[in-house]
Amino acid sequence: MDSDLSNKIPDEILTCILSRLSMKDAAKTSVLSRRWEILWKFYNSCLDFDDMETKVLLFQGQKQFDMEEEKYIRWVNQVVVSHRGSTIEQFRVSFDLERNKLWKPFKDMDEMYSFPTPWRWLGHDLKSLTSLRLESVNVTEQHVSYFLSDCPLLEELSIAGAPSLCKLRVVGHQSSLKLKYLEIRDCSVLKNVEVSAAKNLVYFCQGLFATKMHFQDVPKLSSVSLERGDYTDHLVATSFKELPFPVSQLQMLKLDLFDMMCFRPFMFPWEARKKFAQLTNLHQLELSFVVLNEQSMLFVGLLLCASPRLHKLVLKYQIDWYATEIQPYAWWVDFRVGKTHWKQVVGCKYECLKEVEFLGWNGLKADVELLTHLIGAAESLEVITIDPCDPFRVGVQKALTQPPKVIAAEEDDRNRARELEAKLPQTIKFVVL
Amino acid sequence: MASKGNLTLKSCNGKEFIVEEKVAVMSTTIKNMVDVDDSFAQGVIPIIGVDGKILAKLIEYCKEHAEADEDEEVKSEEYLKKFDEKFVDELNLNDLYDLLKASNYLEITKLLNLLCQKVASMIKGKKPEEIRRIFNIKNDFTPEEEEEINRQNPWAF
Repeated sequence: MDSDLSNKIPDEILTCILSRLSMKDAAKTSVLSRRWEILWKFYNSCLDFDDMETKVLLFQGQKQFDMEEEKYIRWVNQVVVSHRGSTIEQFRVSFDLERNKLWKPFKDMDEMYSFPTPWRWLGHDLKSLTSLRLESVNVTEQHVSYFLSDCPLLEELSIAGAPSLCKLRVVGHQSSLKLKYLEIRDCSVLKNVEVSAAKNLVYFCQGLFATKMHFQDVPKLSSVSLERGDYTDHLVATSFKELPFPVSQLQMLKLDLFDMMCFRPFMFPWEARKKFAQLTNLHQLELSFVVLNEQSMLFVGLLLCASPRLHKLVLKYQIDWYATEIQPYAWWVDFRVGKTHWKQVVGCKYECLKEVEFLGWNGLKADVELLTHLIGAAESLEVITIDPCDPFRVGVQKALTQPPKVIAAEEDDRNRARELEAKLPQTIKFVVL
Repeated sequence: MASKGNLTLKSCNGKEFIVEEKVAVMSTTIKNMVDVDDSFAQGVIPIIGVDGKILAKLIEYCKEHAEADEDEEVKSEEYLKKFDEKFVDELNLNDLYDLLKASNYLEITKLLNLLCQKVASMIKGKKPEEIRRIFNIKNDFTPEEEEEINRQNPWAF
């Protein structure tokens, strides 16, 4: 009896099955028979050119970089050139490529040019592209403007580590820009960011210090993440008055305060603290920072006072033990737990605050002080979440098994946190992760 | 003749099944037939190209899922997951093919997805020879062609 799958089942079902496989597994089916060889060319899932095994071998010096690079480029080009499908869900390349060797078959324009004109890759345009992430790819202002004009459905654009991008213009024409999400980080020479007539833009993430930022006509922009300590220092020190978009629009704000330079006296004069621009519609605030041991965290109250509608507060923090030791005692003596410096937040009320997360909890003086303050000041507080894991441990570091010492210390933190629970009002749900 | 709220489905080899309408309309194809032409709701709906054994399987699947859609408490998500797993695990290769075709023709999307996922999991991580053996796929390349394809291997660089 002939029970050959490929003879019994129509193409559409086999394509559907292929799309559930990783690219590697799907590509393997191309050698099964002639029919499967053709089917593979219509693979419409994620063209993901990431080979972790080879990356590891390269990292360990067991393979030679030059040869692997050549092979890698041939691989990508070969698959892309033979692809016949009308759509793909995702396209991803991940390899440390030398700029001049990149994508030879598509190389045109000048010598140093290292980014291809991708809408020619697949033999047709990229009209239906909705999401584009470019990490460590040498794009220029012109490329970005090509993408914006040639991909009318583009909703997400993320550019990271583009070494020669010096100016970024995102300008909608006749309100046609669909862009909702814009992320830009680690572009060392980018000094000028201009966004205008981006009527659908909701989210903006900035991980760099651009000296000139210009936002105009961004009526829906409501979520902003600012991830460079020096830039947030500048914004906080100028009491948010230099935020390039209307403060009143913001509903979600993430700020990386790094070592909180902005809250030190020479950056942040006493009188400035009373002049914070009011974040009238802010619903969620997320702060990342590094503190010295026993450095008071009550400064958070200043931002809470400026955010009358705040519903959720997320704190990601870490103690810098080394800096605690070497720091000259004199400058920060006033910032210690229990000292006078942040006394002005005592007595403040945070009426809408319902949820607080402490990520990086250690149960030492400073976070207990802040917790106690919040419980007293936020009468409608419903949930407090405590997580002792280091919130800055991400990616590969997070995947690695932690040393027993770290695990034991985190367990200690958890136990100390649970002891606190007994002292809390019963109306508050206390979650220890 | 089916009573009100029930439909009669007839397989290609003449077997009749009386099923609740909510079970039958899990199939978009049947739903469209019933919506468009009222006489189907009264009489017998022929299911072309699907034999009694496969139709019974389809009904078994649709019944569980229709009941779960109606009452999440009796048939929880976890229960359904277990049911789905058992359902596909018990199929032999021929039934799997027939069900794939039938669920595609009758547009029972949930089941089609489940079966495609099952086949994908049978392919995942296996060598070409193993896949050919599992599915009885005939290698129709000439030795030269096969060598060329292996040389160009598109699955890795």
